[in-house]
Amino acid sequence: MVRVQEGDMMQDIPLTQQISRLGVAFLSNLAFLPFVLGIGILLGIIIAFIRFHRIPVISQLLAVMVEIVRGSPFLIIVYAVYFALPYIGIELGAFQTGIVVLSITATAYLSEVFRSGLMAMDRGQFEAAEALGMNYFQKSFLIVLPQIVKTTMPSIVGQIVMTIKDTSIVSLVGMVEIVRTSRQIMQLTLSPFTAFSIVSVFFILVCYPLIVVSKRLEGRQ
Amino acid sequence: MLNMRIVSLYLPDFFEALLETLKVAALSGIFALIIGTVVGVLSTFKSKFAIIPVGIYTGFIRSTPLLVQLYFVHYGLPITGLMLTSFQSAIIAFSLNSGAYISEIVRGGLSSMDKGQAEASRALGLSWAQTMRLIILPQVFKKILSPLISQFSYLIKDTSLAAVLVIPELTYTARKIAARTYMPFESFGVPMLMYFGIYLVLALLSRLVDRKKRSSSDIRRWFGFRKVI
Repeated sequence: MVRVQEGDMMQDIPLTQQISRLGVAFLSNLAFLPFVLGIGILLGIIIAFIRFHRIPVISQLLAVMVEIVRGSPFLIIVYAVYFALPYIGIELGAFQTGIVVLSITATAYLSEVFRSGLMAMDRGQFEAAEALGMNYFQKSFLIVLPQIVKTTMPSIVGQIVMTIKDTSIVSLVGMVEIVRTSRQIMQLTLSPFTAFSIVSVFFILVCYPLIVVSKRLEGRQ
Repeated sequence: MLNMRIVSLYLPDFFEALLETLKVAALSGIFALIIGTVVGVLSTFKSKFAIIPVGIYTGFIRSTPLLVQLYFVHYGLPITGLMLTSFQSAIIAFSLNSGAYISEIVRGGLSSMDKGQAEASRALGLSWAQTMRLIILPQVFKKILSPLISQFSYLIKDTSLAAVLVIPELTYTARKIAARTYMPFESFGVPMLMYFGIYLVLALLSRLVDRKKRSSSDIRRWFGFRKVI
């Protein structure tokens, strides 16, 4: 609760300065994206292929892991990684924790996306590629993968939006990013509406166009 | 691997926290359903006075993080003179958030309805409100039951953010017990299993509901939850 008390240092921060500070902080939110998307898409495709071919043991193990990640709230995974891993000798900073957890969730969700894309593929495609004398890797990389990426594009863009929004939760383990910075500013200026409105505008500027793109891609199919 | 003594010692605490999580989720879910239905119906109107506010509301909710919305409600509303407990703030934020997603689901359901239904009931002399309440909405809800269940599953996971406002739900309790016992694997493992249990039950329920009307082209499998963005 924000209350003005005697002795509170109330401080006016000019609007332009607030915007520039929050804008710089937002860059550290966006800095997660290349890592998380790279890892998520790569591992997601690998897991999707393993599960699609029903490779025994590994496939079931991955299925359980994916469902556990999809069934748990993001925040508790963040807490678990940040507070539990030091006990087995892995100490991660806030940014590293963010990369690990965001990648884990992105991988889990994207693997399901790619798997449903694989399952929606026409079997005739595989057979035709085989008839042309392609080996397994040629088949997968030249025929299957490009089509899957195209059909699952709306979901991939959706995952990007989810990842950007989830970066805000990493602030809860001490990551200095836009939401944490906005709270600090709020505690100084005691005007929550200004700080959080600027934060919202930054998120809307990035996420809303992506949502529109995702919807449009979905409509095209 | 897990220290069973610690687990059994704190199991009652975890179950109490689970109830709190379910309480927050159920309350928010009911309000979200009401908001979602109203906004969803409004979004089918042709008038600018309906479409623009609805567009701003759903656009704002869908493109900002829930954490920011929670802060907005919890720190912003008191400035306007409305004093809220953290429990009330959490319920308001979760209801508004989930309501926006549900409104999208409702709108999808409404637009998939046959126009003839509405015309037929108007021809029978039913008013617009009666048509909605008696003819259209019951059919829509039957149609969208499965996405509604998956949205509720997302809502339960989202309630973990109530931990930020020191509401003694599952995630907050997990952190508290981890700090007290120095046993993070037990403290976070048990709640994660609980969340997973709820998720499994809802996924099975969603599958059961969905089984009747599955088409061959629709590749919806076991855990076919898909977030509306």
